[in-house]
Amino acid sequence: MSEILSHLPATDLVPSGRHGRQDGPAGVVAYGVERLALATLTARKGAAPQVIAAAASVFGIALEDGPKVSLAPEAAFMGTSPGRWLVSSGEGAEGLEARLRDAFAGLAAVTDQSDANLVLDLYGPQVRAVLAKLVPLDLHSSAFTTGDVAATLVALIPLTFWQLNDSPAYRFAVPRSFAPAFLRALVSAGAEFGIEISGTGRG
Amino acid sequence: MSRFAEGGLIDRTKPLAFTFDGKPYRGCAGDTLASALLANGVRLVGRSFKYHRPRGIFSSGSEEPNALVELRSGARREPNSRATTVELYDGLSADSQNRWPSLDFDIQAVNGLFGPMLGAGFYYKTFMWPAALWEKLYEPTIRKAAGLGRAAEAADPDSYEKAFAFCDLLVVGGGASGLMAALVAGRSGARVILADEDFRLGGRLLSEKMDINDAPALRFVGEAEVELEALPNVTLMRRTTVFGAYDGGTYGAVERVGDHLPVPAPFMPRQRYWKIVAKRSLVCAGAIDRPIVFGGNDRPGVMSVQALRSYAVRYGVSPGQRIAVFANNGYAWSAAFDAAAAGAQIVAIVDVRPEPPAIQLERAKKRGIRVIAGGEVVATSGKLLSAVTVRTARGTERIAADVLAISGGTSPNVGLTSHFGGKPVYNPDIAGFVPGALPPGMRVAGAADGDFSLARCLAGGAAQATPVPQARDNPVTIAPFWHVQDTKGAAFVDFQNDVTVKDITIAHREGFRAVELLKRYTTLGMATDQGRNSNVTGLAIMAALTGQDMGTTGTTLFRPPYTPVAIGALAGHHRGKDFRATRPTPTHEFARQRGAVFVETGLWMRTQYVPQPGETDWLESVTREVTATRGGVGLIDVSTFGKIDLQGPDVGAFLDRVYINTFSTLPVGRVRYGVMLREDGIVMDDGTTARLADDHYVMTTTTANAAKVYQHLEFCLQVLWPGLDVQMASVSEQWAQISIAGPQARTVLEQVVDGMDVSNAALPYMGVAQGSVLGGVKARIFRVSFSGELGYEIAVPARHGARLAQALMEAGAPLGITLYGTEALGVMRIEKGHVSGNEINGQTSARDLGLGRMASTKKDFVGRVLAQRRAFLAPDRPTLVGFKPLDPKDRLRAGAHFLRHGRSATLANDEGYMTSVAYSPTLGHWIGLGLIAHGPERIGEAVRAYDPVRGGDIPVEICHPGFVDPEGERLRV
Repeated sequence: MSEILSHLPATDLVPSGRHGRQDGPAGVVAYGVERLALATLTARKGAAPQVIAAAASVFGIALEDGPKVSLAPEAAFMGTSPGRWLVSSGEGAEGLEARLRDAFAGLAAVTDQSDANLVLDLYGPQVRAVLAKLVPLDLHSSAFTTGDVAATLVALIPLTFWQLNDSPAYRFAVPRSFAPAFLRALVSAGAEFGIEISGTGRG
Repeated sequence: MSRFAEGGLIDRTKPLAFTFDGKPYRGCAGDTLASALLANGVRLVGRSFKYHRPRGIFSSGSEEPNALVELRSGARREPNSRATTVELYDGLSADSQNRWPSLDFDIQAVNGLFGPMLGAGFYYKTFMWPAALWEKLYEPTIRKAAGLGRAAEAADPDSYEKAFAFCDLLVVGGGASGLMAALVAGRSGARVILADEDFRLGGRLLSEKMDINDAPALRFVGEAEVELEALPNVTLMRRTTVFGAYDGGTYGAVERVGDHLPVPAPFMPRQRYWKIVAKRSLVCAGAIDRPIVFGGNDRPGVMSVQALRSYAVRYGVSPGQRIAVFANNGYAWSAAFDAAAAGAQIVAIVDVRPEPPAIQLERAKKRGIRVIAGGEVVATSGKLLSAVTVRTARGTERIAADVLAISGGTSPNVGLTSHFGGKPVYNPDIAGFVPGALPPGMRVAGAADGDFSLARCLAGGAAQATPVPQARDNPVTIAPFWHVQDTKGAAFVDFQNDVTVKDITIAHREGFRAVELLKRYTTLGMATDQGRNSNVTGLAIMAALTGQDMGTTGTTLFRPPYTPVAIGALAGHHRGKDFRATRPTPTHEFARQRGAVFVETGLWMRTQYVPQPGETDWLESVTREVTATRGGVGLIDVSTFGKIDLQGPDVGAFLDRVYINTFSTLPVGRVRYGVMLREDGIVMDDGTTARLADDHYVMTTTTANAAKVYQHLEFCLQVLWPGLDVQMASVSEQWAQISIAGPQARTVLEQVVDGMDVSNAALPYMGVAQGSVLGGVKARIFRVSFSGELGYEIAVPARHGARLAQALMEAGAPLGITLYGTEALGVMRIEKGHVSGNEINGQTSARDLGLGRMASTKKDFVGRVLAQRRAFLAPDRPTLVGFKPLDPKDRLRAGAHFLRHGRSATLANDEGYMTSVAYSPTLGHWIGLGLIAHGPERIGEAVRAYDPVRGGDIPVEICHPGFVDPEGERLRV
């Protein structure tokens, strides 16, 4: 749908607002999530069991070592590869990094990634139809459901996403410099249903 | 008009206007362009590829060889659209192609007179000599004649998209078998996709007057469609061609979303390219009629019997007023009867079989159709068909007919089944090829499997399911018959490529007998129909010539795509600016506001230079930027470097193995320059790595190799040394990195740090400090330099990158701080003699680049052994040095080759080449880096820099590559 994007510099985030089809409710909504701290947590060689044990005692969760979301009250752990998680929290970058270093001292490497991504929540009545044009994975409820995580390639962009709820809503962590390209692909895919974007002022 | 008053699946209350070659016509909703043309009595629709022979509509499907037209006009013009699959819409415009000046009178039809000369192998044989004529005459002439139709000259205004779909069962084809299969699988709860290339489901049932459960088959189609639509686990994809079978149960398909509309609906694509991943697939692609070969069998008016049935029954059109049928099988008879029942005037059925089945003779008699058993059509006449000559044992007879419907039997559509290399197998019962070894997960049912009877199609589709709807089981009756001997006029085997029986004879005579060779030598079975009409007959003729049976002769394979696929559909969103992602740096907007000119470096957009008012030339801007930086302070965003966070007890050991030099001994708080080799000893990348803590390092890579180096390190950790305890994370996106350089850099830096001591003592050259800047923004400050000046790279979390750049510019304003780009950076690194992508070009070793002594001899590392290969150690191997022109006014050119004075410009005398050049504002003349044999031993010697591409040949002096501050004093102040 290059026509609706042709006036926009390819380096810019697609601005907030309604794009594509204008009538009726938007088929998909993209909401930029601000102030979410992110960090990677990688278990030291062979230390995944101890990391899981520490997660149980500190965060009170059964941390899954697989492509699943493990949800604690103050943080979510998304499994991205064996012994590796992307952790998100609303408590701020410094806070999260310090807390993880503390909880997993000697057991895992912690790397702040709070500025590395544009975090975008996608939902709406046509969200699956739109994502079918972007995500090379089966998102049917029988194959991918709330709490599932995927690290994949979308519109030639490497990214991680996970399903937040059954509505369904999905959360995408898009590498920062790829965010303009991701939004362009998203708007192209969503144009036929109408797409509402908010929170892309960040650049 | 030859439209029947009633019948067919068209809507006579919805007339549609269209034009063909500019002339206005009317069709109906439900028509294809082909059926609408026939309804208007248009019978001449195209010119053949080679001989420009007049051609009419042959088929009613995607295998159409003749009726290829240019659809639409202007930027949307699409050549080689098959009129038989183009769904009619109001306002459609189409033009015939491959003719000039008009379809009716085509100059190049004169090729036909040279037919005897233009046979198989003509090009191979004729244009061999004289060789000199090839470039000037032969090739241009052939190119002009080659190709079919004209592509649009403007960019396609429509959009295309890609999509992914997943299912348990993909059913290809929505005829009797396909509908049945989808019903059975759908009812069981499986996720089913049913794709059909037609705009209407039903396949043969749309054209055949058959009963299912004692009701017209169309009722079954309607009910099946309603039920399938209602099943949430079933997806019906009409106008969707599954064109290829690929690995892992992946199928390629194209959905024609807006092709049946004048322009696609707003925000809708023209076509959508689907990747369908199916656990299983069932190919129910049906079968098509194949022609019989005889003299004059390509005359407009000759069509397949199944096409005749389709036009009469489905579209309510009689393709002619007097229709003769020529066949060798019972299925053709039933087609003729259906057409007659719909209203077509069948004057005769000519069957090569002396004794056709009695039941069919009976039905013909009841309809008053004359039967000529044991007959052969030996000639046709008329520019448009007007009569056929039939030969029987009793003699020859001329029958007036404007349509001759022919069928030499039915060929299963085996295309998809052979995409994994499975050879179709000859089945003598149907005188045709059926699928051989199938791709994993694929099965075949119905006519595509050689089961032509409706009852068996339904049963095959349903597999083991019950109850199977009841339909009559008509047995296949066929006498293999391929071509009529001793006929008059050219007898075409392949209409699309104008391949005749004679061409196959030539191929046989000249030894091109294997089917694959036959195909290449004669072009039999190439182009858009991929031999679906012609292959079997062509092979049968070759089989007869070689005396082998059909099974031994075999068939060529079918490759994807089943029908042509627009490149636009494959590209989808990724065209123009969206071909690949464009990555802005954290300071992109900051630089844009300052008038930066940007340059693409890989996917990144970086500042190239920043012209100031009054500057007219990039070199002027770049010279100013260099001078300002060397004289004061300059700023550039280096966030595009790859940055890799490395943690764990074994990082030092790991780095020792991937770099040629040692990193385990690097003290905390220090930075070291490192060089990495590929396994084959060639330099892969260079960069600096800092040690932040005992078990924590951070590596930088070049912009170009960021992903490659990360991948290499992952490989090393996962495959080569899985025992090492190292945790790696890319932080390229996390950190913005701003470089400031120049004698005033520290003064500027001091103004943005939060009380960090950045003095020369506290943060010496190649040191790193962690702290904060801008009042609480965490920061890492690396004292490194690419420019050769006192320099710092300040890393902050990416969201603060622009603010940091802004603050540095403000702090440096009194000192004249200058924003510079990649060009100035390039000039300064050449002045300094630092290697970059031009030198680390995939051909150079560390020794070539003067970095050989960096390699540790006390440890092993990737590439160490292969870097010791003899050729890498050869003393005359070109090695890095600097170059300057003897005449300071001369401009150097990268790519120039070095020759000793007095030597001629031959490859044997080549001593190396210039890799990088720049105008050095510091020295006031051009300088260069390059690789030359025995370089370091020849400092001071003059050689020629010979540049035949741009006509340069100037004397240059070999010098030390460090043009500016070779001792590095400026770095340490």
